[in-house]
Amino acid sequence: MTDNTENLIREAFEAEAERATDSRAVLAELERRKPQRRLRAPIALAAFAVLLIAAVGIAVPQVLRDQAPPAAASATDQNVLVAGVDDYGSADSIVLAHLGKDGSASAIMLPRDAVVDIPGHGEGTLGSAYRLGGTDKLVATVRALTGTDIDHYAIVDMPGVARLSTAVGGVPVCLRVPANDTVTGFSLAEGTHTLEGEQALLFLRQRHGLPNGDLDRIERLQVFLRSLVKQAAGKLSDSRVVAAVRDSVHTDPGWNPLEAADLLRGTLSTATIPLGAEEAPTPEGGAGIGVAPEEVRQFVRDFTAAPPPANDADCVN
Amino acid sequence: MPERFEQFIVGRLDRLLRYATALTCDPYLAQDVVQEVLLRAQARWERISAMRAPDAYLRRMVTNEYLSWRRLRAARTVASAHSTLDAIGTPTDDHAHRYAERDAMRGRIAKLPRKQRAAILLRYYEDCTDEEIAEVLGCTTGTVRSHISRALSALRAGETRLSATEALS
Repeated sequence: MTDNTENLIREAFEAEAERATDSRAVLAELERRKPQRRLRAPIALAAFAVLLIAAVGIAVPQVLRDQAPPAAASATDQNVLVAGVDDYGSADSIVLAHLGKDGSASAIMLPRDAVVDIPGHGEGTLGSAYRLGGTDKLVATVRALTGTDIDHYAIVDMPGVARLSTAVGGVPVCLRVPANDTVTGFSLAEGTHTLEGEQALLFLRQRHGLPNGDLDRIERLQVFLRSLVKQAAGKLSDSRVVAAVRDSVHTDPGWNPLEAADLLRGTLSTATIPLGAEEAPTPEGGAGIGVAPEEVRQFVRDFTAAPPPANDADCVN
Repeated sequence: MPERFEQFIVGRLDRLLRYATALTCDPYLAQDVVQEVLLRAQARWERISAMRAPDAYLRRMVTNEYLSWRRLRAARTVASAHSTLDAIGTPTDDHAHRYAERDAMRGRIAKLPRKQRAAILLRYYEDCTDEEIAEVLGCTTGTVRSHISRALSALRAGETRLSATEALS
């Protein structure tokens, strides 16, 4: 018993099914979120956060330089907690940076989904620590998790990064393949482009139509910020640059980023804390990442003492 | 030895995505739903792969994930885009006419309640029996028949209206 309506229904479903997205994006995302592969993305994020420290260090001190000569190189190592905050006020990348008094720098990524003990609250994800009690609670939680004292913090927001890209006169990036985001309408040919403002934000936020999904997005962020830091370095006297950094990066009042900038010698090593292979339930009923506090502390001690060298990539998808 | 998750998925993902797209009428929502389901399936793969029909189980997971999906974004944007097709003038040839009819049908399907759409999708796209559909939706065969009959009435009613519009124009 087949009538015209039933045939039409079949044809309509076939036509609808034709609109399915490319399965490679799903495969890439699955690959990325496999426990042992979770490491790749956070490494890039760590680099991102420390590049922002560098940006603060390069651009902000111009103001300070006019006011007072820099103190002699810091006599001690410094641990700086950096959190990247999205448009909704959630900390989506959390990094413990270690700035050695010898000019070395290392960054350890702390996944926001790691289930940890939040002092004065109980179990929860690192990201929720920030939501629960802002910077203070996040600092206390990271201190408890890593066994490391936090000397300073820096909170950075993404829209500020776009403002900064405009202030420096655009940020060159290189695309391996043409970009085409069917959701936002953002498109860009392959090759080198100089991005600023809204274009820069769309470039950094593209999630759809990327061969490797979110992994590509994070790589873009890394390359963009490295390029941004280069641009900012040549335009230190521009008050717009200083203002953009001041507006998008918030540090604790006691931190003089000039010291950090003067100390950095351009090499950056990154890593992620050891993650458990198993998912850990979060108090909200979601799936978080399990971590073993003793392992984390040992790792942080070892990595900070002797960080391995870093590597770079230039063009992105 | 049971097939590894990755091997199993590579050969079936396209089909699963197509099913989810027809189910949700939104390719990106479909991608998110399939993604969620596969992440969970991956964690429990040992148990799922030992089942008699892992394919059917994944399809069931996708269906239920969508039926309980709380983050329906811009839920009816696709449907409203299609419904404007109802107002488009008389097609000029048979091929175009069929095409317009099909797209009007897509629009009407997109407007069905989620469970009814799932039921007719399983019937007409996956060629399932009432019993198989009942198992996926977790209801009785009586309820399945009721979903399908209501869906068909709604879809036929829309078709009649479209024909009437054409006859008048």
